[in-house]
Amino acid sequence: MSTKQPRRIGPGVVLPPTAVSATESTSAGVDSAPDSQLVEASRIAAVRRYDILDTPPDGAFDRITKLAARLFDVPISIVSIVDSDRIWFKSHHGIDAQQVERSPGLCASAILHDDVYLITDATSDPRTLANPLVAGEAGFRFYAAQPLTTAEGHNLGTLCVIDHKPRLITTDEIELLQTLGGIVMDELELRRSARTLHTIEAERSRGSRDEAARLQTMADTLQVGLESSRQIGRAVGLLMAHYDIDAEAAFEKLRGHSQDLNMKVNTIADGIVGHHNSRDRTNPGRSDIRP
Amino acid sequence: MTQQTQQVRSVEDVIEQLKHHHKTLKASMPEVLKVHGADRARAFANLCKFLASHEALEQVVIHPHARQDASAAAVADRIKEEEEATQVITAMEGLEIDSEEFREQYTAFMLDVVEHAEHEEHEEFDKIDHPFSDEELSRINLAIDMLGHDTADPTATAPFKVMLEASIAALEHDDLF
Repeated sequence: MSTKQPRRIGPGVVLPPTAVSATESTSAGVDSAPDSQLVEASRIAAVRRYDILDTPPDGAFDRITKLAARLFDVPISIVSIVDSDRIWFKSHHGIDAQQVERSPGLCASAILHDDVYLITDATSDPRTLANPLVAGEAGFRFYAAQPLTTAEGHNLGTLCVIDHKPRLITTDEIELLQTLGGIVMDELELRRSARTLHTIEAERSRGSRDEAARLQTMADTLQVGLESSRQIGRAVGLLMAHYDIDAEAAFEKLRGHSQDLNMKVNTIADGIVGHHNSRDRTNPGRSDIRP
Repeated sequence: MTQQTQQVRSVEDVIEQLKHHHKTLKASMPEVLKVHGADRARAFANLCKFLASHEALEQVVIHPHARQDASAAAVADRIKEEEEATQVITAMEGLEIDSEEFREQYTAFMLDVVEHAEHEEHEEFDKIDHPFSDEELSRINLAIDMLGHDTADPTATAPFKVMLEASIAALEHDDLF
């Protein structure tokens, strides 16, 4: 047991000697540092990398929020991800909403801190007494959130426990919330790794398909080229026989026809061979080459 | 997870002890996932040892005693949950301690244990109103004593089912009483 004296946290709320407020700053949690926009842009980029927003419900996260609610004996527990303009709930136990706007969201304040963000009685806490989630229908009074921090130090969101009644929290409970937050982070990392692996394999597979297609095109081109060469060879042979000339003279004759008719050499060759074959079928033995 | 070994003498003492065990379990279960490798194996082994002694106490003394005051169906449901928990722990003992499968099953197991404990407290413990006999109190105090110490070497720990059976046998041994 700690030897610390009981401490008053806000009007009417006293923490016992073992209870602590991990984050008790009286500011509204607004980071006024000049590079805050850069930090937020970097954090949002990290949120995008985890690619978790708007994904379907997941039993692993639902079990953790349910467990957190049971262990803390509170009605609500949430795994939240803070997006640029909203707070999206990956898992929400005890509350129907799937997301809330970022502006009044308590989680948006919580992610600006690196340790457990604690509000023992929101109606008397200067940080939250005017918050619509506190003053409005939701009526939140107790809020404790462990930031979900990446290895690079970005706070993606929180694991939070919420009650409609004010309550105290002990150091053991804060450690418990930190442990559960670590489990949530492990689950997020696991899914990110799985997605990265899937992407690498998909790219590898697509690369293999592209390479196969490229080789097929090359083979087809070579086949066409080879067939053209054969056809030109046949045409040259026919011209040599018909005119009794050598191969060079026959090819020059073929090329001359190609230029005269403004057609490709292989097209002229196709015509000569085709004509010869057709004449051969109807009148075998006669040689009548007219390119 | 080491427990205080103060002697219990009344129904209130016994219920307080049992609820304290549940509180200890709730606080210590997530710790298993906080660490990795040999540390996780050790934490899990210590948890299993604690659970074995606690379940043995309930099965040998508390459930039979509670049947006189609480709903028989509620007691039967708790016993069934404990049998299922033994199967789940046995399955987890066969998994690689840092694997995804272990974490997944263990997270679900934690939730089951918490719900089981809450049902037990509300539907069974809180219903007990007739006093425990001296023999029952002796067995309870022996069980509390058995809960005392953590396991330093996880490799020296027997499987949960063996520990549970050994704990039950120790509590049922007539020569002790």
